[in-house]
Amino acid sequence: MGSVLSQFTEIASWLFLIYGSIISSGYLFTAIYSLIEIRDYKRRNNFEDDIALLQSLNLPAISILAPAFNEGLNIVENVRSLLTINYPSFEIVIINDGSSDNSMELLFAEYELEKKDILYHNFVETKDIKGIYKSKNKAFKNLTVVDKENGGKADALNTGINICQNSVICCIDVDCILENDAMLKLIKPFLNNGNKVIASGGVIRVANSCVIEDGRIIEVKLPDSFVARVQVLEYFRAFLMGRMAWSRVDGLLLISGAFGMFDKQIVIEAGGYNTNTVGEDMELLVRMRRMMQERKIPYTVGFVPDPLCWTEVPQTWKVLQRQRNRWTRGTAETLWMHKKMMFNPKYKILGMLSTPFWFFFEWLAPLIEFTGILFFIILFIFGQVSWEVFLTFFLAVYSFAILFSVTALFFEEYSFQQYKKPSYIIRLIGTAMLEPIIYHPIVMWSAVMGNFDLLRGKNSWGVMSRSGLSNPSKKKKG
Amino acid sequence: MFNKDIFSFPFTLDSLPWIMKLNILFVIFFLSLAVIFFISIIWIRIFKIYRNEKKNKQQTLLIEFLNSYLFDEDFDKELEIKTFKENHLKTKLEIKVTIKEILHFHENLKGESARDLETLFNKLDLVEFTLLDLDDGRWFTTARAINALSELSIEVPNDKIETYLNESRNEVRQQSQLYFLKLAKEQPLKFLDKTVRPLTTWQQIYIENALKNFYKGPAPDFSQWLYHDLTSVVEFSIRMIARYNQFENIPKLIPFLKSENDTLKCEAITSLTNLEDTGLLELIIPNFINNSRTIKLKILDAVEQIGDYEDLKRVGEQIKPTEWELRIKYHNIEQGFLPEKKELIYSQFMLEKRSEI
Repeated sequence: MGSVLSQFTEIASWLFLIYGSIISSGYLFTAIYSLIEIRDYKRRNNFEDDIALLQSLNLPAISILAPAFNEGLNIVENVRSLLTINYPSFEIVIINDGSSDNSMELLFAEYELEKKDILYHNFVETKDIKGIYKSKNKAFKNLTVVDKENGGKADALNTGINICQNSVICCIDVDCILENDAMLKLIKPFLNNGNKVIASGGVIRVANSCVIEDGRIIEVKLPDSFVARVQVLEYFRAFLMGRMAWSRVDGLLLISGAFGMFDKQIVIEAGGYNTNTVGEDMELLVRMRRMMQERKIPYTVGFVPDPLCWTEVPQTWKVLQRQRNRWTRGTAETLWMHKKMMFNPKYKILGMLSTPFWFFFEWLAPLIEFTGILFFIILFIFGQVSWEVFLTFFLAVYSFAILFSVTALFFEEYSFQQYKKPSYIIRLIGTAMLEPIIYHPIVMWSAVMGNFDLLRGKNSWGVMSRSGLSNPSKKKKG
Repeated sequence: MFNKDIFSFPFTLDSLPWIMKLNILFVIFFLSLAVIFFISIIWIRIFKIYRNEKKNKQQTLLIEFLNSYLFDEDFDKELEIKTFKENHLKTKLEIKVTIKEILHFHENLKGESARDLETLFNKLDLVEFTLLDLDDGRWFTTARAINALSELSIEVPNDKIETYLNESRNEVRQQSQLYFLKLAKEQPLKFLDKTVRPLTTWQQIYIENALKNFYKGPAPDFSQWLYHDLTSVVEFSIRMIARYNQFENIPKLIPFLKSENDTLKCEAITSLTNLEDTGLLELIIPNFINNSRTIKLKILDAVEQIGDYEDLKRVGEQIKPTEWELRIKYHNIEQGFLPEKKELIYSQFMLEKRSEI
């Protein structure tokens, strides 16, 4: 029995070591590719200022689709902020997804809405539409409000796709804060590429604690709460390191649901957002890419490294757990739906690199980690723990986690340096040191529970309550 | 619980099991890298603060200098330029900031003041610096140099820039195109003859913008590029014919209505529509059914702009019941032609929709 256990321990230890080494090498390559991409982007923008193009009438019109569910608290300000977007030609389509609060009444009153008989077709099947409204006031002529039966975010976006007028759509969260030139920067990949561009995404940043006035970020501040602060680091890692690198090799599988631009026709041909998954943003892009690969049409997906969109991240452990649980389910569902792509050379980089990476290092990582902890407990019970080895192994993992965050922080400093105060750097380093011990176990647990919930057949989003962003002008009014 | 033999002091790495040695090596490696990155962050921070201070200082100095140079009549130009060159153009950063600031001023000034700035740029020997940049070999330095030259209308031998017209980097190509365009007294698009790489839509927008806002000479005859090897150049030329109202070129656009290439066909329909060519609808409506979705949408646009209800009905007969996008567009146009029947058209469409579902 003893020798079997020791053999098992030996094999398991090797497997964990190999997995750890592969994942570390993966991150190392991502970091290198990201650095090259950021450097290139900085050089590209050193002498060009595209702002002058905002006067041009040649830019394609964009339909901005913003689903809203029980957003009554901020909906009027959020829509107003969207209406001030700096772009020559756009329409805003707010899709009220069967809110049970007073969102519609507020929109009616503030924007002088009236029902319009607008012709549309369900290119993508959706829940019933109760009414389509436009403003009587010409100042809001860009605004369309759709009131529909509740069907979830994906269904609301599909409704927007059916209703909107333009061939380029931008899907956003209604409460996110966009940079002034966000649309111009996001459309650029569509227009400045030899291949057909089917989608483009930008960097999302954390808006918690930032000073916001009239729907614009006035001062970037580091969040006060630890939970939100760690997410600043996570977003650095995800966007400045992960997606930049994937974009460099044209292997992006995810454009954040909070802010992404798409070719409407391709979205429709791919079947629109999938209402049967909670990871509809990732699933759509994977499906679109898969379709293009299968049709053998040359295409690409753009990514803009500039911070273009600011969003509020969960501030409490409970909401964070729900969000991560959902993300895990979304990832697992998408990978399962498109399992055919995995290690399939027909899908090139997507099949040979992107999907395996997501499978092994995004979806499987927390499960392996959790198994590792269980393994450790078994060893402990049987008195097989070598504490010296454990201690050195723990330190190796911990130091790697810190290195990863500090590297992401370095990328931020090198590129955009949004957090100006020197004290912020110290606080972020402190946060990076605490994250592996306090924050990471919770996130890992949420991911494990996400898989468990998926097996149980749970497919709801869960309540994502928000605390609201600081808006001095609003406070003054209050 | 600890194995005291392993950690009994003094111990050497050799006495540890290999796995521990490996872990310790990783710890040292990761922490060293983390420390290096941390030091780099602090260094970048200090460097950026220091550089920004210098930049701000140079900018403040320049704003004062440029304002006096341009608007102060008592300003001893020759002497002050000499002093400025000797004292404030010593480092690369000072030179870069100066170029950027002059470009910024130039962008906001016109006429004599702009010409004065171009002279100043020359007198400060910044042209030489820019030419060095041009030959630097790195694409971003080259692109920046071409940008400065074109913004300030500084002419250099054509062949120096021509080599960059077909560079692999989009950015360099775009800057060299703009250079030729902004400096041209006539024939601003002559560079198209030497272009062998496709123009992106973004570049086309830039070229059109520059053509409208910077070029002062007579508009070129865009039809000369209608048979260019590159589809993107032909597409651009077709569009420009309409933008510049070159009605005399209408006959040359007609053959494109039969083009195999949808992009060109689409552009030709749009341009002929914008030129309000009366014969267009007769050429495109009869063959509506044999076109792609994009072209069909364009034909409907054309009918909306230059046709009447009868033309629309002829198109309507060729729309299949499953072509929902076209049907919606058709009814939208119909509502425009028959505003009094708007509600009826809507309810009829909804009824058809329901019955077909």
